[in-house]
Amino acid sequence: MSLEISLRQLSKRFGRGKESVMAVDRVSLDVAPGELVAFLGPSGSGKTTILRLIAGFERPTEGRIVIGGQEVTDLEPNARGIGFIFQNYALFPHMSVFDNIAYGLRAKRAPEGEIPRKVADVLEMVGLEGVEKRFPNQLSGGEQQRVALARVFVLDPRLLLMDEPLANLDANLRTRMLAEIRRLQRRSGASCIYVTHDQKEAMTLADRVAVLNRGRLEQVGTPLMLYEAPENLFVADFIGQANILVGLAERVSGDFADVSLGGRVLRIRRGRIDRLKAGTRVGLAVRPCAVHLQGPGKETFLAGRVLGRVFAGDRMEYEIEAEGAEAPLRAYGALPGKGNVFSEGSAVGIDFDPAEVMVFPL
Amino acid sequence: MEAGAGFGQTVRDGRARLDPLTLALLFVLWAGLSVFVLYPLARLLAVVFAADGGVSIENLAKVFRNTYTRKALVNSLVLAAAVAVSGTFWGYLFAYSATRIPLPRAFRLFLRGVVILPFVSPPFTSSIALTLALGPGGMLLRLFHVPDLNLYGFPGTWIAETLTYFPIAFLALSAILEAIDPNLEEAAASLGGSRWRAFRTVTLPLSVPGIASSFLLLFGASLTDFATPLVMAGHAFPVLTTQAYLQITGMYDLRGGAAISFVLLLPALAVYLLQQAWVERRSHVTRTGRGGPRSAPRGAGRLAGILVLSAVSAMTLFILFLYSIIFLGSFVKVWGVDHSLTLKNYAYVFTVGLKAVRDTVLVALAATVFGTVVAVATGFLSARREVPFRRTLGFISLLNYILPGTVVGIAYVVAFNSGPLVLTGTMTILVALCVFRYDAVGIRSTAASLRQIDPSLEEASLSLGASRKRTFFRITLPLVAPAVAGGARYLFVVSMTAISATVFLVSVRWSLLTVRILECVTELLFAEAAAFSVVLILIVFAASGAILLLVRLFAPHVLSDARRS
Repeated sequence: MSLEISLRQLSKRFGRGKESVMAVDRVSLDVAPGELVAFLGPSGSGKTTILRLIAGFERPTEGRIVIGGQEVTDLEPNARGIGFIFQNYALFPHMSVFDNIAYGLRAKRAPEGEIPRKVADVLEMVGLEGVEKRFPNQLSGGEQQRVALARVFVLDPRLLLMDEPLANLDANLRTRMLAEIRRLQRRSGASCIYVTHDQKEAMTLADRVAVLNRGRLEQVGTPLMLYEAPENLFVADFIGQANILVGLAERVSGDFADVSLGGRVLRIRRGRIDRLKAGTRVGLAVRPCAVHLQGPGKETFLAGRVLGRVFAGDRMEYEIEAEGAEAPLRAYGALPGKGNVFSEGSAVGIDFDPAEVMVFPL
Repeated sequence: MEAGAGFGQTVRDGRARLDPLTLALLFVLWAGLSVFVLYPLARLLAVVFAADGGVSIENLAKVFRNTYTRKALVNSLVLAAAVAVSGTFWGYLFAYSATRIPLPRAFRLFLRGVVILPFVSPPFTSSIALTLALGPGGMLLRLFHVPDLNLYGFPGTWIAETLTYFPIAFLALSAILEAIDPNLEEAAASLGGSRWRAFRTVTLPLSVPGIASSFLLLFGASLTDFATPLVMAGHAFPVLTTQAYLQITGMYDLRGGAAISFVLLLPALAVYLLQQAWVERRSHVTRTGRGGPRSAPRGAGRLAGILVLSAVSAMTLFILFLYSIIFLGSFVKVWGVDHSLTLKNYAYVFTVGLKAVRDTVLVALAATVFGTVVAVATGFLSARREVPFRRTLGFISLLNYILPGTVVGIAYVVAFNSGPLVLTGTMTILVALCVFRYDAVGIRSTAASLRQIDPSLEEASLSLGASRKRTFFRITLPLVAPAVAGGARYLFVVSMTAISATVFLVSVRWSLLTVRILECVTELLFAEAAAFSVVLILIVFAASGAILLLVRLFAPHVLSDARRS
């Protein structure tokens, strides 16, 4: 059972007057039935606030929320048919695991006779059997997480809202629970919104990712789309990594732009060329894997110097001070014995793979 | 309480939206505080400062012209200082023993138990016991063949008040001493200091805020104490509280009594404010929040440890001795004269005194039930809502608690004997007094406990389909139950043992146990007084146990460590 969710021009302002903060700024988004959409953004980007608006814990300043064709903007949280997973799990400390899971069933006046079987079934589903009589503080973090999931899934929610559910788990457990959550969500068929600041989590889990920044929706799309075709510099930088450089658009044509940088010109065919104007400053995004380092003496696009390097397992990662770049550039290189290796302080030549450079208006 | 309005809407929501339920609660609360706190105080001020149709300080001037009341003022202050010093001294010894000297766990618990006794006893207990032991014909005097010790006056009052109030110092000081990391003392010792030096240069200076706080608390408690001086001080040693009382009940001079109580109000208020300031500053004690391993306390040196422990043990024995005297005294015919055992004192309590027992329990129960509802509602408002004038509301709800009982009692007499609202002689006035004077503790602990509960628990309940009402009764209330029960227990105990304010408000229709004890003492019926005291203590213990049991039944497994992750 799943439903479509529709956010329409949703805004939330905290406080009044000069000190007010626009936490959510005219966000519109549709989530398809059964779809899992991740809300990704830095802290303070408004992702949790949107989730709380959908849940009904906060009231929007403006805009509407429609779940399954029904307007719920003014409904109480308990009338929305949602399942909310909290970052701290919010298990009721004064109730046993059984009572925690039965809580929602009882609130919905489920026949008392059916409850034990339902609780047992859902505990089996989350892989946590025989803990009914324990209390939350007698469970490990991972077990508490599973109880929190069970408490929600036992109600067959039509819509799942998850607020950084894995933030309190250690790295190993996180990977396991990630797969588990995906499995449970698929199995229940519920639509799901998953808030996280961890892009790897968002990329592996989500059908689509919504990137948020300062309360605004920057871009929505499949993980691949966000990586390959970011709409703007923020998304290019936030999804994957990118070196951001500032250049001048010399010439803008239908499908390419000539951008000058440090006295040299680069012809770029990716990014939002349609929005560029000749003669204006533009931002370039270059992924570290598109930065090629050369030994000194060769003719290269830019010249630079190695600030530092680290061994990253399957490659070397460099920080390069480059002419024309405000911040150090990140670049990848071959491992020792398999290609050129540069030592700290040495001069290097820098080339960009032109097919991989993206350009955006600033 | 209807479900509709927003229980559980948290203050995370930036805008203050006052739903109908909040508005109704606010209205009831302000109405209550206006009638039972602000109005009596205003009437009191009017009586004190009104003369010949104008505003005048003539009434106050009269107080200071009277040498007897001038003497009472000086006596009150001297006595308060003496009690503050001796009480803090004993409190420190007990606190040091309980926190710094390695003792068997059972003995430690026993010490704490003995120290708590005076808290749950009627206000005259130590006075009566002292009289039975050291008064005319007293047990100890006969034992040691001392003809007579003139106990009445300053010495008796001082000793009795020290016994009654040093537990306050113990609580304040043991909290502070517990917070001082023994590692610091070890550090001092590792730097070559002796144990005495470590105590003098580390432990003692770090406990100064606690000492100051305890000194002020005891000063305030003694200054406003009414029961002890009434029994022990006598005419030779007048103090303000008893003078105000005698002025009103003996000379029917309400105006004069009000003026005397007003003189009491100023130092009491000053002491309270000073104490609050000290508490605010206390934070520089070594609460680092770092959960590193703390070493066990090293304890004092051998000799010092023996000295402290013997003093503490002697005091403990003395307290136990006094309580057993009360207990024994309640079973003898005439104390000091005829020590044959009898149950006639209890027969007296349950015949002549039955009405007082019943009235007291009724008043205390009503105050507890009503006060608990008020505490939950008010705590909820202050912790979960952004209501206008919250600080003002908080201060006014504390006002009757801060003011000396004598002042509040006289203010109630002034306000409710005449005028638009006559409540003299009713149960209402007694219940209202207890609720609006002693509920402060419950309100504060409920609000503090609510603030510790993560709002996500309430949100989780809502998102699981529970209504706001169900959320409140199944989640919020059980989680604050221990704090609410603590407040209720306090309210019941003090309603049972209160005297300084209620003594002005009892009537033929409603009489109270403490007042009956006072009457027995003034009529020298010590055995009956002892029996009343024993019954009162038993009721208090039974009620405390019942409230704890209720919490166990209503909210099992409320585990404080799981509240916030």
